[in-house]
Amino acid sequence: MKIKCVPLGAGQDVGKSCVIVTLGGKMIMFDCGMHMGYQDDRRYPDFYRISKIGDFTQAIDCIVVTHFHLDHVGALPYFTEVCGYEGPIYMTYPTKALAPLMLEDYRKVTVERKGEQEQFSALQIQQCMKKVTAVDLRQTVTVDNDLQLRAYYAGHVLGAAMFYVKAGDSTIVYTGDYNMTPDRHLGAAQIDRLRPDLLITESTYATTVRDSKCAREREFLKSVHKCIDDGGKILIPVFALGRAQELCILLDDYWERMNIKAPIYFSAGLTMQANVYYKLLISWTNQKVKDTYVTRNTFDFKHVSPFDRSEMDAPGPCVLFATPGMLSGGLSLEVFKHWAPSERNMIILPGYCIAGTVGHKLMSGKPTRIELDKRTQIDVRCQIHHLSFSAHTDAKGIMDLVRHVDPRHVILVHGEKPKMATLKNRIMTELKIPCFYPANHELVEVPSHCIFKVDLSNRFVMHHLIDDVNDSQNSQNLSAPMDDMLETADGSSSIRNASSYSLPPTQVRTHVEGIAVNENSLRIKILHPIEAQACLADMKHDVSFSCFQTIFVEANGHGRLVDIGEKTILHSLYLELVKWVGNAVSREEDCIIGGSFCMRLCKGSVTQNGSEGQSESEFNHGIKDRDIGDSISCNPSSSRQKIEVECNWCYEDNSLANRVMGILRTLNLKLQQCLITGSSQCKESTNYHRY
Amino acid sequence: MRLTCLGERNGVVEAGEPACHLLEICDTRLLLECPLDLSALSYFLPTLLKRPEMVLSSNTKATGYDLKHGDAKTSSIPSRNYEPEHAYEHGSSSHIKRQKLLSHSDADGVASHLLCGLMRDWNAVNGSSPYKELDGQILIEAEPWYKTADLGLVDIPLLDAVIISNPIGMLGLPFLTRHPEFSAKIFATDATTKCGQLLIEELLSSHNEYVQLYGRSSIGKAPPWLELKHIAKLPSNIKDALYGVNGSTRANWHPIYSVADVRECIAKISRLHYGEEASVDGILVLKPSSSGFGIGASNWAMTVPWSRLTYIATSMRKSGSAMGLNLSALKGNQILLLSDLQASKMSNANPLATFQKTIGGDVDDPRASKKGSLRIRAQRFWPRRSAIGSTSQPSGDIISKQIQPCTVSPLISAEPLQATAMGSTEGTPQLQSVTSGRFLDVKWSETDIKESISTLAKEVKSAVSAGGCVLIPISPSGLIFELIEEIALELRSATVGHIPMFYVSSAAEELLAYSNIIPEWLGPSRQEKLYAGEALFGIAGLLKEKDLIPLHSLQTPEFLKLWQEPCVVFAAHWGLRMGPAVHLLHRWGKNMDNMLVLLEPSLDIQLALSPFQPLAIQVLRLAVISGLRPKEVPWVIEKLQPMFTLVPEFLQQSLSLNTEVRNPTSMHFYSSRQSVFLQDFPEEMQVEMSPELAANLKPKQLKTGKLTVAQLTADLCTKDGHWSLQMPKSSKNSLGSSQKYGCCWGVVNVLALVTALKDCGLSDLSVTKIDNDQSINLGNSPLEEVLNFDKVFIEIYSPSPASLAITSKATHISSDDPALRHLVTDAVSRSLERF
Repeated sequence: MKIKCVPLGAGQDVGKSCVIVTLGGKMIMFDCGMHMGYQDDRRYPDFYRISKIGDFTQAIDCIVVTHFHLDHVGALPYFTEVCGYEGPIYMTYPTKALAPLMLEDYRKVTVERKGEQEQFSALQIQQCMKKVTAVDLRQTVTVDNDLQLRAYYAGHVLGAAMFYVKAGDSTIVYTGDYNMTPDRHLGAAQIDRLRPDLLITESTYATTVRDSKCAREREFLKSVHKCIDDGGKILIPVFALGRAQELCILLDDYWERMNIKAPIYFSAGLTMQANVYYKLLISWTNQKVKDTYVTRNTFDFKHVSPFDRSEMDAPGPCVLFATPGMLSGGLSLEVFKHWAPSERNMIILPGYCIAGTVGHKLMSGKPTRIELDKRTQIDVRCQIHHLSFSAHTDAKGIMDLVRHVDPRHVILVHGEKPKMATLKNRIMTELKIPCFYPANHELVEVPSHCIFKVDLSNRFVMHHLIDDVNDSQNSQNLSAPMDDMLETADGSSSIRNASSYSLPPTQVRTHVEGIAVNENSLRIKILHPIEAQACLADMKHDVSFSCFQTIFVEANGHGRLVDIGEKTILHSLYLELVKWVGNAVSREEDCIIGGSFCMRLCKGSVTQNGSEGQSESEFNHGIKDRDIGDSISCNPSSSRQKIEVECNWCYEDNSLANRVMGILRTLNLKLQQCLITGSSQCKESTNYHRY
Repeated sequence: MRLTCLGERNGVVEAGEPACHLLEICDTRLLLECPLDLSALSYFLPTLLKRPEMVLSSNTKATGYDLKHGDAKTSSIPSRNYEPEHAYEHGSSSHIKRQKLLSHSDADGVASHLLCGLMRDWNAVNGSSPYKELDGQILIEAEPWYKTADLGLVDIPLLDAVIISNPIGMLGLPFLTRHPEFSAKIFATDATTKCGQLLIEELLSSHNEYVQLYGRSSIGKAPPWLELKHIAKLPSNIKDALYGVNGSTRANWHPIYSVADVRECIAKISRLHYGEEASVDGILVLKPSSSGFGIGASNWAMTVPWSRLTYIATSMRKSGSAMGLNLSALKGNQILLLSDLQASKMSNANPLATFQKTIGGDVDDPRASKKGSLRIRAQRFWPRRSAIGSTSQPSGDIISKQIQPCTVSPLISAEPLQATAMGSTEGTPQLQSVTSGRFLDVKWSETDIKESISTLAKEVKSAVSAGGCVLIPISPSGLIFELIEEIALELRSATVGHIPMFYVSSAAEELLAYSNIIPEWLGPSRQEKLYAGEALFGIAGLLKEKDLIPLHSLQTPEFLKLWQEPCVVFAAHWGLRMGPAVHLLHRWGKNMDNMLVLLEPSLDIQLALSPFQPLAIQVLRLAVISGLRPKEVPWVIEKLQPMFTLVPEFLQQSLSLNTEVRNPTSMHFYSSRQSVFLQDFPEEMQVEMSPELAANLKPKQLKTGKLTVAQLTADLCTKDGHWSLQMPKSSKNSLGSSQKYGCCWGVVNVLALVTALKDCGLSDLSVTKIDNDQSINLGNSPLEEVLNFDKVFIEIYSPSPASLAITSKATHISSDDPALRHLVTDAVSRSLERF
């Protein structure tokens, strides 16, 4: 099974993230973003590559959106409302709550301020969001029987998540944007060691290694403080969500500590509204912020108030957070026009600015005059600060994540081509993981982890995992271990074994043996060897045994064994064996049997040959003399006489046979008068003689 | 699988003790819930009459507190503020009274109030009995202890996991976790943990307040009321309620846990989100899903390699603000375990306390006559069911007196409630008002929670409009948010001016703040508020406008500053025995304008109110029924389609009568302290085989054609409940298998056999091959030709003679020497060419 991955956006680029992945027969779209740098068709991913006829609902099984930034969610209303996708869409609760704000803000800016034709209406945004299913972190969502997904905390912005998707046997992790270090209000990304077939990770800072955040924060606060002391105004163009809140926490805290009285303004509408959402969603922030909810919600800022346009030219220092970021229009640009000409004022640009925006012009070099449009030009005399407070992880973070998740393949997206190439080489050499960084519309195919599903029969599992106490007790009687055979012979070891009760195994690894059977190339089934006997009947190899054993008999001077009779001897032998092996053996007319085990007295019955001395020596020499002597020899003058028995058995009953043979070898059978005379009610007594 | 019900009451919700089960599945032992029997708390007196010595010290401390915080006016007010005439005036709602409600004098007040002729020792002869009879109820005069389920049946060190489905199920957890050998994992949803923590902390603070006021009755030893000699004298119904049948649950009583116990307990809980999978020992995978019972309340899906089990804890088909019952996440599991079902009969937790008492000699016992007068007074305010047992039978100079206390619950229960429980009269809440001293009973039927709440709110409004105060004893849960919202709405429409609402509980502030940060745990309508950017509950606005004031307790300076009557008070209570509700009830109980709202179905009103008698306050009962109703069981089964269903025994009849259960599920009934076994299922276990191992298999086609077989030696591995076959790490010889299973396969490779024999030192042998009836002696070093044969004989000469006869299907070994036989067998089984 192959996993196919095509970036429709963010391939060797930042902006309009959209990656199509086909795995396990399912097609999933990760993110549905727009490109902020383009104003034409290129701003949206080329959706018609997915389906030429535009039947997206049929083609795509689900859309997963990682966070609310426009380059990840911007094209969603267009895709659902204009292109007509009607399938499931998944995002986290905060993303679902905040994405419409971002979309609406974008729509307003394009339509009302830039005068362009709108791509989607406010109503369409609402309709689009109604189709979204909100998910919680680590919640396993079942899209359909073969498709499951799960969100992990990504830390980039509130509600940002990485998604783990399992379709059939193939697994994939798509990170979206993430941050491996906690910031003022968010925690660090957290994910399990999932070992997916494919990891698609962002690589915005593929080569950057960032220094400590503390130092940068200190520097930021110092310059702000200095500017305020000098009576300057500070403009911080931000997006309504994310960075604004983080900087605000920072400043609010600093104001409190340093007892600064200068006001902090939030551009009224959106940003203040965003704070309400942040208050509701405080459980998605980091632990420190979460703990504050009882006493004072961190997002109830003390020193922050909404901004009124009349205060734009009011005297005195202040700090203003204004949207949009990058100074691309709206209030922030308007305020910029007013404040830029004064040397006391300061512009702080947090984060990345896309080419073509005023923010980008300010960042590149130190311009003194900026051309806003053909008619307006602005003298820029204010101080300009750039803050790299990016909520993206750096190169080390990416490497750490890849190492931790331990995927079989890596694909890099959302980055700049040369840097991605460097990172790719690092991943290939340091982690030995195949790595790709496809351009837009470039197909990458990676093999999915090959998994064979097999069925384990119940008996196989029971045997290996559940040491059934009953089972082991039964087997104690029947099969003492072969290795202990000699010890078993005296019947003592079985008791020891019975006492060694084993706890159910909880170890992670169990050694198992079985038979793999495959019928008609259906699923492979693993059987317990005993179960396998049925289908392996013609493979079976019968192993059988036979042997002769000498037994010593004391008749206590009650005459010759000849007179006693074979049946009586056999019976007393039987009674003796029952004592040791219980009902594993039973008595037949002329033999003792137990399963395939069969013992009978040798033919030729009873003679007068042999003395005790002889018998001792005969025993010592083993069976050599078997053919000469008759099986039951008798010395009338001696009480000890010997008889010989013949035993046959099959492999299955080997352990029983071994026990019986052991008993026989050490047996000193005493036949008593009553028994000899045939009274079966009388108890015979025997004792054991150890050689 | 084995299920043992540890609760006394078979998982019946309304009887007060939530279900608690021990589930053994796949060698994993799980404890499902760890609740406390809160109904047992009502058997304690809300005060101690005989003050132990140490009380004095705590008393002086309280006095010191008064001097510090109370103004001159407060301390000058006489302590007899339990007299309603002195307590407050009506009509002037704007008049803010700064009265000390709670002080050492209040404690005195309660005690003296109880002593004024109403109370007598249960055992008149032995005045030291810890049991007191009061208003016809027998109560324990002691510091409260707490009753858990039968944890004695649980082998605590062997417990693998504890599953907590809702805050109620968490109350007993610190008793378990403080056991030194407790090592199990605890699983609960994040919101359940938070709410449970608040609940436990509230219990602790209420208890500590009790101790501070009245002192401890016993420290470090078993209290006298647990002694058998005292228990033996109790009437059997009380004995059974407190100590179980035959006193079997006497060991379930525990003294309160400490703050440290609670802290440790909370830290041990693994907090989950809905739908988050968690594994127990890598074998069992747990997944919570919403149950509709409250914020964070959950049902569980459990997966073991053999089977999947659904555990339905307390659930509600239609929920309030919390996320609704989600059954779709539990579909397709073979076993369904239903617990915490609503009883088919509205059970009165305490049957009528009817008992006989003999008083020797003294016919004109003043206390007896007072008792009688009390009864009459009680009758005036309280309805009585019938005249059973109200006659007294004097016989000689011995008075045999049957005391029939005022009965409240029979009136409520009886037929209509039972009918509601069975669902036959669903619809509007049933209101029953009672003449003189109104007693209202609103049955909370699940179909119209909102309607019930608004009914309640209207009642509250009318009580407040009449100048009364409303006391709503409540424990911290999601319900309170809805009540506050609805009542605030009604109050706003009332024309009586500003009436504040107070929430007096140690958890108040935190719970109210928490209400606004939990969008993930709420139902769709509340989640819409998140998307609209509004507060989830109207509470935030109420707090801002000071319409709702959270108070930590009645002893805080804020209380003195902000208190204002009439008002609506939500107050913590524990069986009306501890917490601020007790003091407020004591203060307001004598006035008919006031109203008491009781929400807990498990509360036995008669018992709970008995220490406060005589009461004039209106009582509104709104029993919040939790748990699925019996008639909903078939619906759940229908939805989930399990193969086996485990339900409490009391349902046996109603289910067998119910024809709705048509689907082929096999029902099993459990009852307390009995185990139900379910056989493991014959279903095959599916695992994954690693590609390396699969490549290593050498399958062989059998002659019959279809089958291919291969010998498998592998390691069965498990990780997070996920099983797979991997390449074996230990290089054990596969020889073992044939010996263990007493069976051999394949064909003997004679060449290998001879080599193996020689390796054992048996080199003195000769091989004879019989092919086409020709016997060929090959000596002791056979060559390739033995590969094809009909039959081969091998003779071994030393150390003792043995012989082998080998064909392609069988081998016969003859030897009389056991050691030699062992060696030869070993060699044969090793030289078998299997597949």
